Amino acid sequence: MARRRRVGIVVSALMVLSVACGGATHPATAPSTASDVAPAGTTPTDAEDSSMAELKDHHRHHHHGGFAMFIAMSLDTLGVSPEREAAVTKIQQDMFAKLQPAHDAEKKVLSTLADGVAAGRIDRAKVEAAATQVSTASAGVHDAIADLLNQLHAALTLPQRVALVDKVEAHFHVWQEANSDGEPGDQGGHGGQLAKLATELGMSADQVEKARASFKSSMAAASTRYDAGEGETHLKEFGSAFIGDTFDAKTLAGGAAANAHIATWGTTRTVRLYEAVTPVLTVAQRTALADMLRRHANYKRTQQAT
Amino acid sequence: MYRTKAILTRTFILAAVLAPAIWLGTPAEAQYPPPPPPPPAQYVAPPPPPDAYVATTQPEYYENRPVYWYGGNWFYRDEHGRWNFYRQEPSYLRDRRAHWDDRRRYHYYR
Repeated sequence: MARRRRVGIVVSALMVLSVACGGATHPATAPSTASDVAPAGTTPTDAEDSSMAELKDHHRHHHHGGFAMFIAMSLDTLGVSPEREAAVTKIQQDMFAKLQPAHDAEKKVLSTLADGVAAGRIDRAKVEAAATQVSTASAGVHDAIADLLNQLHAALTLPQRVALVDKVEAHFHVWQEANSDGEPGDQGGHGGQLAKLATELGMSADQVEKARASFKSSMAAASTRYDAGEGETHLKEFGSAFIGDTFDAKTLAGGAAANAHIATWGTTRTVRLYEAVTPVLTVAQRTALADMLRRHANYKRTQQAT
Repeated sequence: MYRTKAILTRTFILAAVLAPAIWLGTPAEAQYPPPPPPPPAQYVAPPPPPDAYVATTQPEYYENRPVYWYGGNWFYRDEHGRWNFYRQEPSYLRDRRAHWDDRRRYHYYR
C-alpha cells in the first residue's frame, strides 16, 4: 500500500514537471525597426488643414497654363534666401504676365459659368468657346516662359531646385486628385468636390445623387480624356533636367502639349460638373454657387487668403 | 519464478505510467514542427507630408536638401526620392523652428 502511494507520488510529480516545462512556449520576437517611412498618402492620417483644402479648391477651378502654373505657384513657398528673393519674385511676376492670356480666358469660362448657374441654364456653346481659348493660350505658355525658366534655374541653388521640382510634382498630384476622371463624390475617402459643394450649398441627398448621375453620364460622353502618363513623363523630364547643372527649357519637348491637356481636361471637367449640378439646385443655392464661381473668376494670383 | 513475474509486471506498469509523462515533458518544438513565427511587432512609421502640404509649405534647407516639418518630424527625400525623417531633431532645425513666422504656410485665395 505504501509502495503504491510512493509510485503515485512519483507519477504525479512527473506530470506536474511535464506541464511546468511548457514546451509550447516561444521566445518573444523583438520589434522590427523600419528605416523608411510609409509612402505619402497611404495612411489615413493625412489630416487636411485649411491651407491644403484651399489649394485643392484652387486646383478644382484653375487649370490654365498647366505645369507653367504649377511652377509659378511653387515659387510661393520655395523659401529662397533674402539676397535671391528679389530676383525670384521678379521671375515669378514675369511668369504670371506670360500666363495672363490663359488666365483671362479661364476667367471668362468661370464668369460665364457663374452667369449660367445664376440663370439656371448654362450656355454650353459660349462656355466651350471660352474653354477653347484656355487650351490654346495654355499651349503657348511653355515657349513663352522658356527664358524665364532658364533664368530661374540660374537663380536657384541645387537644394532650392530640388524643392521646386518636389513642389511642382506635389501641385500636379493635387490637381490630378482634384480633377480625377471618376465621380466627384468622395474620392479616396477624403470627400470630393460634390461632397464639398453639398456641404457648402446645403444640398439634399437626392440633389447630390441626381447631380452625381448627371455628371457621370456627361463625363462618359466627353470627347476628351486626360492622359496622366503624359503629365508624369513631362514631370520627369522637367524634374531631371531642372535639377541638373545646366538647363535649357527649350529642349523640353512635351511642355506645350502637357500644359494644353491639363488646361483642356480641367476646364472640361469644371464646366460639366457645374452643368450637372445647376438643374438640381434651388434659386438660393444657385445664387450662392454663382457667387463662389465669381470669386474664383476674380482670383488674383498673388492674393493670399486672410 | 513468481518473484520474476512480479518484477516484470511492476516494470511494465511503471513504464506505462512514465511514458506519457516523459512525452508530455518533452518541449513542444521537439514533438511537432515549429509553428510559423508571429508577425513582427507592428512598427508604425510616421506618415510623410502629403502633396497638398508640400505644395503649400515653405521648407527649411538642411544638409543640402529641403526638409519639411510635418507631424512632429523633419522629413526629407533620400537619394532614391523616398521620404525619410530625422529620428532626432537636429539642433539647427530646432532653432529654425523657434523663429518661424506665418509666411511658412501659403493660403490660396478662394
